[in-house]
Amino acid sequence: MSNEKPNSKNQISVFASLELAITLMSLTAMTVLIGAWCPQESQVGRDKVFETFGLEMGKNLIQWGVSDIFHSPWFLFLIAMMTVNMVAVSFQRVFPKARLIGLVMPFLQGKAIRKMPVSRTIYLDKSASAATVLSFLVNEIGKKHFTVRVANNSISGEYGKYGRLAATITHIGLLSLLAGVTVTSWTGFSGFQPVRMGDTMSLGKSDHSKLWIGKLPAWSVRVDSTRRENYESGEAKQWYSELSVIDGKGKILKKGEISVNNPLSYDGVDIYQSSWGLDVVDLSFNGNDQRMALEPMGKKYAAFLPLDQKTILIFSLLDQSSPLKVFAKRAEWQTPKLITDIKATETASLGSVDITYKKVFPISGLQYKCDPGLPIVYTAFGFIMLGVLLAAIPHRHIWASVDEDEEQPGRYILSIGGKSIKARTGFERLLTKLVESLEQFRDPEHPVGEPQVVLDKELQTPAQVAENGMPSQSTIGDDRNANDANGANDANDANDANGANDANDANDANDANGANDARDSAVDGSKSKTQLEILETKLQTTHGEKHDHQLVATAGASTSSGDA
Amino acid sequence: MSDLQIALTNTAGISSVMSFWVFVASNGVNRWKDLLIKIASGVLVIGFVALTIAIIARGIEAQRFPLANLYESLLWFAWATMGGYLYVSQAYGIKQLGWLASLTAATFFLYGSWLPQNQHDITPLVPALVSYWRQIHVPPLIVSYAMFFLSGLSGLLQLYAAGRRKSLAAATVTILLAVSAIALGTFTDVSVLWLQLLFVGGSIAGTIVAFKLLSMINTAHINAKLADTYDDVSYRCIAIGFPLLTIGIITGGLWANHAWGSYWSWDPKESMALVTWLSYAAYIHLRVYRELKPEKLALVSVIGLLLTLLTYLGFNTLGFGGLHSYGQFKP
Repeated sequence: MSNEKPNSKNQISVFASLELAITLMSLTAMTVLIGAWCPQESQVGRDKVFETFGLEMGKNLIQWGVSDIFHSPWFLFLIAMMTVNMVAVSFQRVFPKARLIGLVMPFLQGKAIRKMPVSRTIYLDKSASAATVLSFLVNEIGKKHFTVRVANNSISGEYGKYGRLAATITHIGLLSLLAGVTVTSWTGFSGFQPVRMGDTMSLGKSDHSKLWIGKLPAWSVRVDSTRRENYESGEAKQWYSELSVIDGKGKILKKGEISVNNPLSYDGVDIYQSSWGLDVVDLSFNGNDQRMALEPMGKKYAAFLPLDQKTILIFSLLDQSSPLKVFAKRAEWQTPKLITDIKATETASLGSVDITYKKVFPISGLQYKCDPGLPIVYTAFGFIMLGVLLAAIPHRHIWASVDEDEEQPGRYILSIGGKSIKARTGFERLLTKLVESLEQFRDPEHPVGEPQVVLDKELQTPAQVAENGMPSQSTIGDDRNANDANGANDANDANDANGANDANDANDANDANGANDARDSAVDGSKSKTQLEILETKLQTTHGEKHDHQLVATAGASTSSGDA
Repeated sequence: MSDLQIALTNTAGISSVMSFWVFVASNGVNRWKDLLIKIASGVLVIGFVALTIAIIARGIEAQRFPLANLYESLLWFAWATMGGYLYVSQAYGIKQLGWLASLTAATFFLYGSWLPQNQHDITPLVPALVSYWRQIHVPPLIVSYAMFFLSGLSGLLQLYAAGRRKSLAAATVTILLAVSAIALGTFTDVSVLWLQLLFVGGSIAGTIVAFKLLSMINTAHINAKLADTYDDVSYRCIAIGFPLLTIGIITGGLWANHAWGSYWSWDPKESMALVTWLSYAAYIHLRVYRELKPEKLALVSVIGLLLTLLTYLGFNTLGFGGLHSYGQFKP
């Protein structure tokens, strides 16, 4: 059913529709799930895909783009659509609502209050004056941290006002995030290089996106020294590298030590310690130098030298400062036998062979990146965190008003009601407690009035109502159904009876909804006659009262009476 | 592990089991119902306090923030589940969630106690975890997982109170299938591809069936007021869990950027956390702006529970790998 609001809500573009948002979120979630399940080539390499799924299946996954799903056209399409959707939603729906925060709540009178999602009525004892009751109530509501305003015979209280900014702030954050990621993608670069101690790393071959307008630096990075620090047990505790940033002529531009979690920054580029190892060891056998490659073996690094068919010499090192252990292993021995320890630069004699441990070359795994969008991304993170925290605050309104009973002049009724979108039941408990505290003012002959009946969202037939057994569950203002009928746009109505829209909404609560409901039910032939009758009655009463109940609205809320 | 710590942890574990049975018994004996519920809640409070002290004691003994491996995260999860329930029961005056909350806590204790001894031992940290970011990044996530569990469990109770018993049965079976996939993945050598199929296939099929069965209403068993309350509780838990998940993901990004030079790298656990985040973002949009029926929302919260389980435990036990393998204990 189309939106029947008189204002511009129905001019919202299709890209801003909630259905599209939900669809995109679901599709993106499924795509990311598949990407989490299938090893991604960009992270672990193509081999891992074959290792996990076998040759046949692996080939298929690669062909379908599943093994690189975050760079697939499908995923980029989803992200693009999400961006469009989020921009449209933010500017057409979310941001305009932020303006409403400055507007003050209108005061409502009895009938309007009784149509709130939660409401109670109390017949006041003759001895109780309206002023006493209301000032008592102002005090009680104030105790619950509501901001309360008072007018003659009416009060209006609001709690968690800034909770209403949650959507706006979160969406600003998400849009900034997209902007920051785009800046990085167009101008940023990154890379990884294992650099042996003493060697220099150039940044000329960095990775960057295809669509790129950035510039790579001309300077390079030399690893002056690098070492590993151990726990007593021999496990690695930390890796360190001394780095020098040098220009083309070898001039040192900056020096610094990095370790895991402690990068070096220069010219917008951060250089991180990401891995560490021993690369090669220089030995000398009877004066003949030999460079041997080291391989990681558990906690240690080892080089292997086969002597004959059955015997292997193993040289093992824990780190750059530990002595070189020399083992021999023969096929018939269960474990290698330690022959000797050699400290750095020293020589040991093994029979006729003198082995000198000259030097070991550690290798430092350097990760670097230039991320110009990062400040924007960090700002975005701040907005998103603030936004979602605000979202946890339930936004609540309470209205109360003392009015003369139309049927019994001279008798006064206190109507108290309101709404809370995020914690309905909790709000009901609050209201019940308030009403209990007003017991002293109640006319003992009249019980506390329950919320009035009530059309369920799908306008159930009386039979259904009886069947479901929940006639008092939803009031007209409870909008679950009104929303379904009117489409997502009307969430506004339930959420904010405030400001410009709110004047309409509050008005809706009084009259316009009645008209809409009547139209809805007239369209749907299945609605029961009884309900039509209720609606008609309601329409009559609302027309009758339209001009006499004033919405004491401030700031631009006065359009309400004109609309109907 | 010191004796004190073992004693306190055992107290917490036994309390959760006892509390569960007393909650169950309270449903059988109408006459003592209120008394039994009081006892059950009391026992749960004792367990909660014992666990709080146990976690602190572990931190003092280890000389570090006590959240560094799977076992410790399970203790935190159980702690948050108990604490979250105690908060919710205070705020809403509901009791029936109690037996599900204590059952969840007990299951996680049991799971933790079956882990190999090296998980229980206090071991030094690997270099990647030596950072103050660890205590900023991990606790919000574990607590958010617990809140999402409570939300899903409230969803189940909502289905019960709304007379959707067939749908409830389907949803329960789905959760049990997922839990058994996790258990098989942890303690047996069944091929992970089969377990992934069991978890994901079971979840998809189960939730579709549960949605289909929503139309079958058992009108004799509707408690509208209770259904409304559980609907509210379910949302309240998400309203608490979602900011925590967001903060956990973002602080993880900050840490990753600090340590690895990239705030997002599509690591499987990161991706999975994003999937969970998107699903709860969808829930919130459906709820606030679309006002879906409570029963449908209840099933969405069950889907959320399944995704949370997959994010929290599924990734390590069902063989997804990645950088977040600290929670893993198989070589």
